[in-house]
Amino acid sequence: MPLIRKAALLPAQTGGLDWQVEVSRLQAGSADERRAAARALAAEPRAVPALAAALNEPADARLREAIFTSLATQDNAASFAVMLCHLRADDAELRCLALDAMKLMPQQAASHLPSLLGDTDPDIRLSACELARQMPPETAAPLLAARLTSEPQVNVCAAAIEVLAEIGRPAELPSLGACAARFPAEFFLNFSVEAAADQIRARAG
Amino acid sequence: MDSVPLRIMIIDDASLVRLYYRDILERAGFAVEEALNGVEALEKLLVQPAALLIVDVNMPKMDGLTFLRTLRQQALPLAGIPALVTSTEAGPQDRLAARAAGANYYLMKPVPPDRLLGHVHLLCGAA
Amino acid sequence: MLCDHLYRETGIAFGEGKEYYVTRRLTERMLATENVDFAAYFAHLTTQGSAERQHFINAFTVNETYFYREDYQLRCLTGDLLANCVAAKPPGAPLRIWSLPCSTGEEPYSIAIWMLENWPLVDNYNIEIIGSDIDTAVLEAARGGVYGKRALMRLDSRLVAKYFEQPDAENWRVIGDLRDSVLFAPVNALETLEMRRFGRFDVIFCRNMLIYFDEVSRRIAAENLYEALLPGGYLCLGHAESMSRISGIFEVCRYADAIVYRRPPEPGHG
Repeated sequence: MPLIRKAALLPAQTGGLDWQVEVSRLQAGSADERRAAARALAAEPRAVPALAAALNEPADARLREAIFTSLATQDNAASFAVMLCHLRADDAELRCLALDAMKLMPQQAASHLPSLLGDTDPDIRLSACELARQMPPETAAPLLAARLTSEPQVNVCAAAIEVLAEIGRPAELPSLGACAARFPAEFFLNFSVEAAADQIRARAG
Repeated sequence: MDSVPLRIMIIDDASLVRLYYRDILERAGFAVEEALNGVEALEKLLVQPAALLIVDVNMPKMDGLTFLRTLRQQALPLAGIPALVTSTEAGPQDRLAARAAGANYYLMKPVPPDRLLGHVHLLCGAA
Repeated sequence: MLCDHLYRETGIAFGEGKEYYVTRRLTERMLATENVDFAAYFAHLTTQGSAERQHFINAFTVNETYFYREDYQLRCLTGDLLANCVAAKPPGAPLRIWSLPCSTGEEPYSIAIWMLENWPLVDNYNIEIIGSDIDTAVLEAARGGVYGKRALMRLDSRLVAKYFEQPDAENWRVIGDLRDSVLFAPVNALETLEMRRFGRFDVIFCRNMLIYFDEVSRRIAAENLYEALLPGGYLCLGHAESMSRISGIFEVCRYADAIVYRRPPEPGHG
């Protein structure tokens, strides 16, 4: 048998985590060190400000993703607030990573959902519709339907309709119709109301 | 002689948007592929390139601009596939960012059918 | 709509003509979970932390393990991946391959046999093959290297004669040299510190594991796998799996036989 030999493992790491050492690695290490530090801080709530600050610097996507995973693992109000900030970012990558991470925190998302759906920023309202997708339908669908009755931005309506297509029940059909009536000239909106209504009716059997 | 329909890939996480574009494009004689984010789009395009891409910016796992930058770094023909970028963002910086990433055109959502087809025909060189 | 949900969550797609297959599997799961209608079953399935998710995915994926399963990836390994892995390695350098989860060992032994049989450069490098699983009982079985006829069904008789002994009519045992060549060690893919003990690999086979995790766990596992790769190293998932449902941190690479994922090489290198 040619050169196939049995490997050996590295020794187990001993000792606890010094979170402040990890924070300094996060701020000043090599790319690998920064990423490892971001991951090591997943269980340290005191590191949230440092993790948030690291997101603001120009960073590679892998570091950002590691930071967001750690924040999502923390699953608390402070980390959710950090993500909310980045939903408004100019950088598309940051916005999308933030929303992905918020989807990993269903309890935080659920408790914030009503206020997010009523936010003054339409981009936040739009993202909130997507967050509603993973909530129990009996809670989320009526909230989305309520949004449809008065939402001025057509893209926010479209986002709500997209989610209602999957989770909506017959009770939501009237608000879909009313929304279409408010935007008679919008091709896509009318198309999606019809498609969503079809899917809701098909599910109801 | 049968002409093979041009393949257009729709890259958008919203199922109703994909359905809407599919409807418009198939009626106009195009063949349509779909992907729901940038990673899936790359996987499919690496197997078979498309003639044109319609790429949304805001998608999970890999946003449209990151996808486009990655695409433009691949070997030909992938690097050269024309791309219509769509977005809900209205700011001039978003348009510039899309151009910098390799977009041919930048369309605001929602896109009416004639606007979509007009740009598709422009990029496909068809009448 | 269930298909859309399944597709969005896992990437598993059902083409036309598969409605019967889907309906049958779905009915089985509805009966098993005592849900009388589809809406109730779907609510049950999508409840956070539901154990039904695993049963549901099991119902739609093939779980049988055997030698040379999904051999298109083995062809990709020796046909394309290894050449890139060794491009900058001197003769005698280590070449490390991880099979995780390895279950009862068919996959790592298959990798070893395939490389011995198909890679001309197999003698030129110090090849380490590690098999890992969270389940220590299957690892014990893997070390024993005993298999029934079904596990060997994809191997021709020449390979069986070459790499197996037959202690009795029903069982075949991997020969000692080959059993001694593969290290079997337990690991939990979600435990970052455990994963780091294994160092970095040129190629990781991680087939049909991530598909069972929830979203957060999938991401953590994907990040652990990324860290476990050398720059330029490759990750192979199961044929129905895709990183598009997990993370954008890997590069996507297409070769003649497979789509694989790659940790980017260091800037300035290959």
